[in-house]
Amino acid sequence: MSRLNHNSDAELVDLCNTGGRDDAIAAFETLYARHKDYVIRVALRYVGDADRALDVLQDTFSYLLGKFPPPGDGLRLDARLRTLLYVVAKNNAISLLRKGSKAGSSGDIDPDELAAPGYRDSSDLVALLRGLTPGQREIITLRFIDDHSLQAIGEILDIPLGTVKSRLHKAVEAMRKLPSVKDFFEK
Amino acid sequence: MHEEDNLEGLPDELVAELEKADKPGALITARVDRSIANLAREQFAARPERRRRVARAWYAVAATVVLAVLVLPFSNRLGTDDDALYADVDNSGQIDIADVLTLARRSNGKVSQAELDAFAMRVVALANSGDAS
Repeated sequence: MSRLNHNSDAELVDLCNTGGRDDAIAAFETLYARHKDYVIRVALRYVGDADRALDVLQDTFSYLLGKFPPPGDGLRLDARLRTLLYVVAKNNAISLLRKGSKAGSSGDIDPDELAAPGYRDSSDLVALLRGLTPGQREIITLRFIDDHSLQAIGEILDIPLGTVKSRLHKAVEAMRKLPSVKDFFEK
Repeated sequence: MHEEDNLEGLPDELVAELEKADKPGALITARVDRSIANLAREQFAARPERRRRVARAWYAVAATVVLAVLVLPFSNRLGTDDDALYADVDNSGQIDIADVLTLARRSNGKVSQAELDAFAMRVVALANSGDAS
């Protein structure tokens, strides 16, 4: 157990930015231990298999590491760290899928499909959310599984708060009609 | 859940089911953890060691204590403008010089040297008056 487990993300980021060597390493390892499961979950939603999800995990934390000096200029945390990690993991996953698409013979990946979780495997989550559009799945997972605020969702998706509310409302309405989860609303 | 934007809801049982379905198995191996830890060690290798920073804080506090001992007999009362700083920073149950060191170590430059000096002088003053708690 890290001695820094009780420190907030913001304090750990501060240590990574300005702390001594030992403190910075310990702080980064604590951040990694705290958020690695979240990043792997986000990665899996997009890439659908363990190997590529692990690549996304490494790329995401390498990116984060590169923000701290030297050589980075330092990370200024304006929102929850998870908001940043989601965006970075998603972009890394999309890049990885694009690379795979170019190298492979299965043809181009539809950009619309890349814009939201594709759930390429046959996980339980796919079964529960089958029937929603990729955008609806993403906003449902961001809100109810990841517990992001509406404002954070707006930052992640780069849309205004009003649009977040409207999309979320439509997604919840769509969920009410899904045969896989309809029973939950009737209890 | 965020209270301020609790506009749309899903039944709690459904949320629990979604969370359960989203949980991956144990994918992250010790090897992956080590790989990330090694990256961090490489990245921060150029940073000065913590020991030096703590040593510098010790020297600063020691200097302040000497100064405080010399100055206190000629001073009626120390500054009272910011009592919030003079706290049991390390939760040891008493305010002493260790709190000054802890504050110096944790503040990452947010607390000025002048404030640390004032804190140290306050600690010495309390100790001299037998008021330290």
